[in-house]
Amino acid sequence: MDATQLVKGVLDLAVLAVVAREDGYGYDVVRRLRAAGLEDVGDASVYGTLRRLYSAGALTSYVVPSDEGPHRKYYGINAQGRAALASQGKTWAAFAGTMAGLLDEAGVKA
Amino acid sequence: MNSTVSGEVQDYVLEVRAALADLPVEDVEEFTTGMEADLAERLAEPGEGTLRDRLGDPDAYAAELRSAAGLPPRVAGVEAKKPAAERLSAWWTGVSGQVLSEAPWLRDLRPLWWALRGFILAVVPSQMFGVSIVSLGLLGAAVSVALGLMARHGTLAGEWVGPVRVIGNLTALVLLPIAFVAFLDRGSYSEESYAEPQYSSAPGIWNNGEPVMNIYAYDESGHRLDRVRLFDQQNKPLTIDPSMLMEGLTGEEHSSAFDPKTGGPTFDRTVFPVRWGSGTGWEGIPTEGRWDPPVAITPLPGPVPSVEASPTPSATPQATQTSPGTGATATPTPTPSTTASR
Repeated sequence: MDATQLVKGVLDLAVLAVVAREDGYGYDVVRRLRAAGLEDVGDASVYGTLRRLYSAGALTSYVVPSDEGPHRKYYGINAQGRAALASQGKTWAAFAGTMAGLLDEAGVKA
Repeated sequence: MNSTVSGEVQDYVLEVRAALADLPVEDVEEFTTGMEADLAERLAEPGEGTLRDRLGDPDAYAAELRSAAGLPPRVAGVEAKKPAAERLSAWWTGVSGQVLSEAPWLRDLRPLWWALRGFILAVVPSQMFGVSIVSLGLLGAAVSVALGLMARHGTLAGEWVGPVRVIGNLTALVLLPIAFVAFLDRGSYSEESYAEPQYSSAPGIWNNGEPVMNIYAYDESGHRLDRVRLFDQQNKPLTIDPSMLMEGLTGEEHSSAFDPKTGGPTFDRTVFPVRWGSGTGWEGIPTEGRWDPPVAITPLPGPVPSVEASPTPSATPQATQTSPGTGATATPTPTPSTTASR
């Protein structure tokens, strides 16, 4: 199964989780997701997701001016984002548990 | 934005912006704020290749951005917001670049295309004003080649050059078949007009490709000659084709010139000017470019004919002097004795 397809389904959750730990700018979030193991995540997908979560009110955003280079745009999580992270996290955990059980019964070890 | 950002990054951002151009400005700004910093950082990372190599085509990048952001994919209709010439230009650059990379030798043939292009484009004014495609085409080819050379040497510069060139090239491609047909037609027309006199089958008398319906003779002093018969080098009398005349006449004239029952001509086709009914033959033919033959035309230059002519045909000099005033067109049938006897 193509991991990129799986990632798409949980990218919101993954991004929320990353930003919840620490504010980050676009590429910083990408890098942290990759470092966490989501290597197939696409740059533009992450930026788009950040933008969508921000529009939905789950993230805050601020621009950090830079003297040396172009401005950086940081994203941070807010209360609504934390609530979304908590509820989606639960859904995911339940889903992952169900899948693990199914696979376990089929004799597949993760 | 900032000079420390490489041109590559800026170009990439510009292209992504262009691919998002149908979105509200705020959205585009939202997307691209911070994008340069991100891309610059991405590029600065150790690794392979250009931004395109790492991130893919800007269009695909923008599409991914949209899809992840939950924005609608680019709509074809909205695309028209971008200047059409610009998109056309970009498209042409892509296509021609591809073709040239597959067949680099085509590059050498470019001036040939310029000439052909100019020739083809000349078909428009040529058809509009009915001017020969050859002369206009050569002019167009010369202008086109000149423009091509100027553009190549950078003499021609400006934003309009690209779109104009593309539109010109595309129009030329579209017009190619039309120009081709026009060119072939031109060939056949000229052939026709040259070949016409050789048609032994075409009846009647022809004058530069046009049928002769009547002949009006004037003598050296510029006066009408009536009841003239003409012969060619084989002693064949010159005869007009009555069918040509039939098309030119209408109503009463037609019925007096052609037998209503048989449809045949009622007049003698070998005596000029040809006349029918009660006419004198000098009335002119009611057809396109109608000419009403005047009583007299300009005399031929040279010695006054009356001096030389007076000894032999006595009637001529007198008649020429009186006829303009009297206006008696048919009566003074002077000239040689043969016609007079008829």
